[in-house]
Amino acid sequence: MTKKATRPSWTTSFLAIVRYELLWNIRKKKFLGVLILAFVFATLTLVLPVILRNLNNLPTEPNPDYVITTGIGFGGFAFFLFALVSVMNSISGEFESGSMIPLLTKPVSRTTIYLGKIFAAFLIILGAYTLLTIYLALGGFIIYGPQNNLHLIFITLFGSIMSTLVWMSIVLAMGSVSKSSMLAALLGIGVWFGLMIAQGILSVFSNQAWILTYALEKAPQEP
Amino acid sequence: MLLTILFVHGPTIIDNKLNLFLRHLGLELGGAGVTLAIETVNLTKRYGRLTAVDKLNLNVSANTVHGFLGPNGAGKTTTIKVLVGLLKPDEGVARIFGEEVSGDKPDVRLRIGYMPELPKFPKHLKGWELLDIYGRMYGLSQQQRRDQLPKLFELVGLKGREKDLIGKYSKGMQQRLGIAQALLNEPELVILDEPSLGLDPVGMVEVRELIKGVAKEGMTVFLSSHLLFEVQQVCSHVTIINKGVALVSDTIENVSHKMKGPATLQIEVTKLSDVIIKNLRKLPFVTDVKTENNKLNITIETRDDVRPQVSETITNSGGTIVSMNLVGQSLEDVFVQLVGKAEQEGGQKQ
Repeated sequence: MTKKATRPSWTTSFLAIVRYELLWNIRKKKFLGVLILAFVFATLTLVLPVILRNLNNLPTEPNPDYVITTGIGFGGFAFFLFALVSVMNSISGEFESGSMIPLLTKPVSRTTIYLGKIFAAFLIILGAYTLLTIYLALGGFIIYGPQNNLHLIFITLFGSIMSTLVWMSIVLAMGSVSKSSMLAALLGIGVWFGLMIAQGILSVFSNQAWILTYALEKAPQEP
Repeated sequence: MLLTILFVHGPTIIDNKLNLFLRHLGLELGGAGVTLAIETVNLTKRYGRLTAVDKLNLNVSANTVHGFLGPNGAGKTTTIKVLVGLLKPDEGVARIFGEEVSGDKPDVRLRIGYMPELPKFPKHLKGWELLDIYGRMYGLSQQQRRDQLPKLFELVGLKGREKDLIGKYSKGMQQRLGIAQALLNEPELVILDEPSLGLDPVGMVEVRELIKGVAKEGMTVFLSSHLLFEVQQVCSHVTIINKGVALVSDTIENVSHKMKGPATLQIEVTKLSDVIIKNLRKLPFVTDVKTENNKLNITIETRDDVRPQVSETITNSGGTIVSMNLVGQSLEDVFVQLVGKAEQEGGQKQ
């Protein structure tokens, strides 16, 4: 006899989607590749200036603001790429491979599927960002000596995650609409570069190098 | 505006709510005492200029095995995609157990087990993990999943491969996994889109037996196929569709009988004589008799079983029947006849 159907709670469905997404994301070669790439970028950020200075017979000088200014700043680009690649085929890739069809016919609402996928991506990004940030902070400490304002790392981490979540949402939405991973990625990259260029132009007109400097400039100045 | 909504949609809303309420009580509403598992009314789906499904009226009674037969591009998969909520119809209504399926309806999907045509699953997941996660989505408890999953893997012939990554599964194995996930929650309605596609001959026989077993469990099975013998062997009812239009829908027996046109009796006779042929031609339903060595090909213009009369005529005329075979009433003949006729009519219109 057939079982009397009882719809599971929203939390059960949501967690099932998160589990589904995490399990297959973590095993993806692309995901592991990007993780390695992000660490390579972070390592280059730390080591490359030292090597270049040594090649020019310049000593490595202590820089107590390295982690907050240079390190995390360049890491952000790696973070963006990481976020992009990890979600660019989360929905569109499933449409392309056809695995989305069985998922969409399960008794889970489309909104729950979307939210579950975003949350799973958030958990992945959170883990990866935390590891990368610790790596950069430790590397900065070892190479450039004791660092100032390390307490700001948490704000930077939070900011990076939140901004990446916005990017992820855009890429996921584009993937859902276009059902093409390529279009989703291209659009994400296009918007990112567009904003970078716009930021450069704006900084020329406003005479501010970047947002943190702007915040510091706006803070009460000592006489 | 409010009045329009009340008058136009009111009865439907009340009907749906009443159905929902009765279902909670374990009862069901249905036309003329028959519960309809699937019902479509003037269902139409277009892709640009192409009308894939054209005012389709489909009724599938509960607890039947209903075949959905048609050539490639007939609109079978499009209809099924509308039924499972993957596509929105342009016109008309589709209902599953009385509930409309258009839009995002998880409650309706809860009652359906669906296997898409050549199903694809995330290749980085293991077979067991996939069914376990799908089980969670259906609200199965951990204990239920532990009980159900091994049975399903055994049922579809994937025992021993549960822990393998789906990426390592062959096409046939993915097909079997597709059937397993469709049966996971023991649904009231199982929709299978070309279940035998990609399977080897042994697998095809196994799937047919599986479907028969599922029907015995009390599930309604709706399966699309282009394999006539599959539908004939498994289904009790059939709907034949071509170019998005349902050509006929009834029990397989009735569909065969409804068709007009000659059938042929092939009879092998010893001591074949002119007397036998002459007497056979006198029978009112016989339109033609042809001979080839000891074989008779008798064309008959009736759907009644006239074999006893033919047999009696031959025996009384001094002949002995070695074998008798009635051809021309199989589903295949009906299918070819119907589709051919539809193509012809389409051609004339153009």
